[in-house]
Amino acid sequence: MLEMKQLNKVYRTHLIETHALRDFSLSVREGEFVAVTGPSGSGKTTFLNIAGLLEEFSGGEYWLDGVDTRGLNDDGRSRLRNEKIGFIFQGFNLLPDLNLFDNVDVPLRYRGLPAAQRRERIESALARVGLGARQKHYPAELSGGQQQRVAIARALAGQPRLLLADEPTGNLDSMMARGVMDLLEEINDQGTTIIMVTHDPELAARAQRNVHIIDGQVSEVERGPQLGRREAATDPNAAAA
Amino acid sequence: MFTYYLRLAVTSMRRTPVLTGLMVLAVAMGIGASMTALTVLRAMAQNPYSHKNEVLRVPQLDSWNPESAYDEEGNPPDQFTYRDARALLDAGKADYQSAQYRTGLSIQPEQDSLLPFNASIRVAGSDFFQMFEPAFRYGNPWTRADDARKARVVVLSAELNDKLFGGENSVGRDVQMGDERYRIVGVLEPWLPMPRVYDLQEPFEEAEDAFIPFETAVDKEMGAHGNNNCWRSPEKPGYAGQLESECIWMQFWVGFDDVASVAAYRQFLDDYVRDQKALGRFERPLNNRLSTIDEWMTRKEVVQRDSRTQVWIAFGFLIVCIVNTVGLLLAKFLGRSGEVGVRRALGASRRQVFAQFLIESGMVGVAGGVLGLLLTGLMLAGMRALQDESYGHLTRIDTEMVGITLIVAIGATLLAGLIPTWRACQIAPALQLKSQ
Amino acid sequence: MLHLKPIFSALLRNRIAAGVIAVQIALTLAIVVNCAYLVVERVSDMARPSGYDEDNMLTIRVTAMDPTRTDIRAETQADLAVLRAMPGVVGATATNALPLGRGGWAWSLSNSLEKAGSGRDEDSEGAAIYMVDEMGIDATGIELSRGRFFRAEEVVDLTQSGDASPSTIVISDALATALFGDEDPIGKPVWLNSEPGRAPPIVVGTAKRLQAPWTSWQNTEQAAMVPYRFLYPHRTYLIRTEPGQREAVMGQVEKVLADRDSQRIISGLRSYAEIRERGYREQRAMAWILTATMISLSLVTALGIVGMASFWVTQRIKQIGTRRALGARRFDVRRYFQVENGLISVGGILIGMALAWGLNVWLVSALALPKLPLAYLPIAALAVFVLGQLSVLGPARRASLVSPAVATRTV
Repeated sequence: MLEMKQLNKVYRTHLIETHALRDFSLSVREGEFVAVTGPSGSGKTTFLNIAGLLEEFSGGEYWLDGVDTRGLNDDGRSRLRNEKIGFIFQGFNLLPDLNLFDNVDVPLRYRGLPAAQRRERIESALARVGLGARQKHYPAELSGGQQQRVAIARALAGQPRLLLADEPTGNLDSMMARGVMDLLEEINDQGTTIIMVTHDPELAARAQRNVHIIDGQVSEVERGPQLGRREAATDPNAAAA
Repeated sequence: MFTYYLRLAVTSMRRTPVLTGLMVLAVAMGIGASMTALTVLRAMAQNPYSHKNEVLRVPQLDSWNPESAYDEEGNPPDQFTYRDARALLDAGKADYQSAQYRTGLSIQPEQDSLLPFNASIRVAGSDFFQMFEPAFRYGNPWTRADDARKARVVVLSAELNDKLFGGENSVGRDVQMGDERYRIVGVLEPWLPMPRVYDLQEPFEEAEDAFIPFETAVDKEMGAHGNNNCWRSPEKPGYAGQLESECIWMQFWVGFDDVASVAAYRQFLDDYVRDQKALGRFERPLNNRLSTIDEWMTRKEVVQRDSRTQVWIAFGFLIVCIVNTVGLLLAKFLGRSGEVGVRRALGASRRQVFAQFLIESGMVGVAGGVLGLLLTGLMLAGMRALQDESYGHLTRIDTEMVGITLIVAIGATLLAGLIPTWRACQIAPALQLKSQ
Repeated sequence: MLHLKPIFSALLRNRIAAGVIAVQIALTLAIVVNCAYLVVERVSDMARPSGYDEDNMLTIRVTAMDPTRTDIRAETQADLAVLRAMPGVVGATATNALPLGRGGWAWSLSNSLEKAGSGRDEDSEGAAIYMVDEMGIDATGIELSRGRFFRAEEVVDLTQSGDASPSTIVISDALATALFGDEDPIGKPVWLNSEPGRAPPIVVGTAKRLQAPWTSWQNTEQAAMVPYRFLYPHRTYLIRTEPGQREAVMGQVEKVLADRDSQRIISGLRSYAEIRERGYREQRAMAWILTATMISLSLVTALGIVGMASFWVTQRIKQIGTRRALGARRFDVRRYFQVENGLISVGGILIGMALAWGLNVWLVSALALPKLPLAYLPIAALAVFVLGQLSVLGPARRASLVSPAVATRTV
């Protein structure tokens, strides 16, 4: 699903060079739920940006779902991002000017789907996160947990192969956080690969596998206890059709 | 996708009504000012006889003072002496020719309910109607035979016919003008050649109330209401002296069925002046002209300097308004860098972001254009109030101007939107809405 | 200490936005300066007195219906007699034209016979000619600077077919200077260029001011009065009243003339204020149009500055809060934005002054407009600077109200 080999990422200013990632290699298989942890400044965010095709890298290889991302220009990366990746942000990142329906609609619009298909997907995605009745509401009218559910619905509506979550519960109280985690697990059960960046060890423990990043390198890989069960997941290609 | 961008634009505009209002107002003011000035300029500069531009000509003969040119540029006089008009009329070398001037007569209506009043009269030859083609509501122009026998005939304007005869067909009836009765041979439809090409001394005046034959007016010793310039005083007093003098006071027009005849007429004019030189007149160098209407309008400076100045200043104003819009759009678009980042993260390409923001700029242009059109109407009304009555004809807005206005407004805002849109496209996809 | 350096480097980081505002200020300055000059020029033209006692004057036109069968001389004398007998009337006369009246007659005059005969334009001076009888001074209220006005015996008849010559002439001071320089013009003859053979009228008096009918004529102060009884079928009566009596006379005059003889056309009753209004119509229109442009332009630019400054304030709320938390006073925050706007304005003004000058050079060559006096530039620059400072007051105040607590608030 995701294959990073010897990735390097260097930030340059006129004074210093910072190696955010150094010979970074990671492989994530179809249907996995991976938690990425590490202290701040370790390169977690850079990893997420590169995995999400938001940033380019300086050296190495990155294959996403069988596509070599090295040769892609900005447009190509936009299309790949749109089709294969769903994002869940710490700050939810809903567009305040749009109601829930329109927020979920955003990635579908860029994919150019016909109106009827978009409507169907939006309604089912919102229904799935339990907000089917509030399509016309604006983000400001919702609680944080509800906003994050909308963000998840937005990510799901695109039927992505890979869901990238950046501290998805960071801005939520523990009650709401648990609900969001339940939802993510449910999604993963249905075959979507999830990579979640977090610094919360409790959350990380709920993933199948933990990747710890220190100084831009993968320092340690832990196997989660429930790995065996998840490997028998349903065919994820069915969901991406 | 286009409708999606339109919807996003409307949503965004409604979310920031003050900023959007400022932008729309600025565009509208710039558009209003420049379109107002342009409307007036266009009305002044248009040639209502462009289809006959080449075949209607104004001859000019340099009969002026041997010691000093008529003007600083050395042009020949812009009017005719009676002697030269007489000679050219008698020669009859053009297909159509008319000597003309403006005069006034008092009209005594038959109805007791109407007081006597002054009417403006255009004195002209029968060919005038062939050359300038006013439409007739009733009857016809008088004939060349009427010219020759100095007939007391008149063609009324629609307005005068309405006033005197309630708009009825008055052909064949008489009207008392000055000390004589004139037989009505024709009534015109409302006629407004703008500018009034046939007499550019007052280019934005309306056409006269009535038309009578040149030969009749001279016979009745009618003077000109218009410029009468003499480089040498008449040698004899009175009207006879005026006719024999070197004073210029009438306009002369010639018309041709075929442009090919123009060269021959030019030759005729030169020959005429050479003959006159032999008689001791025309001491200045040979300096004849045979101008087309366009050339004539340029020479007579029909478009006033103030109007040109206004157009330049108005377009300067428009540029400031566009720069202003650039600034405000920049503020607005950069203020939404978070949104752009998220949209980019969710898969929007640069081109899609570009389209979205350019369409939003265009929407400001459409709104500004529509409001600008309203402002143009208001400003033109203001211009009418500031100027005299005849100026009203210059301040009509036609469908073409409406089209130009909208295109300029949208074009200008799209232009203004380019830099801000380009900047918005540069925003990287992001995982954080930074401005929250 | 204004701490210009950090403000300046902050501006450099926003250079597109700052540049846009500076360009807008520059263009505004360039256009406003040129408009202001054109307005001032027109307004000062319009303020020139005509030389007539305009406040107490009115005019009315009479047209004979059948000129060939009318004794115009008798009619005119009778009309003037009833007009002069009206209560409140100081004087009345028949004339051919009016200062500011748009239409009139002009003669070319020379100070010597040789010059009059040369036929060259540069040997003569154009002068507007007003034909009035001996009551002309009472009917117009012109103020003589030298000499005297016409005597009754000098006034001759001028009919449409007549050929009488005036023996005397009263000229405006401006015309006297043009013809005779510093010499005393009284007693000097002036020759008509078009007619050097004719006996020249002698200057008997000069008027402090007497304007031509054409307000945009370059020699509009050059005019003269000649002693003619103006006996054309179509003539204008000039009537001067005692102060405060004009309205009363205006209400009566049509009836008085019609009562004497109703078989002619009596029209064009106007106070001199109306004549002035018509005489300067184009100039006034242009002045208003340019003034409106200047105001709108300043407004647009001010709103643009407000919009941009507000945006910057919003963008920097966190930064402002942090500064406040670190000890900046409200005053410091306000000053930051005022100084920032000042820096942009100065940049815009420098470009704008060069642009204004360039624009004027171009206007002078392309449209033959007058050259801009340099003194306008610093005045306009100051005005534009103040405009910028005022525009940014609101946003700067809003910035100063940002709470220091913003600094500790998480995103």
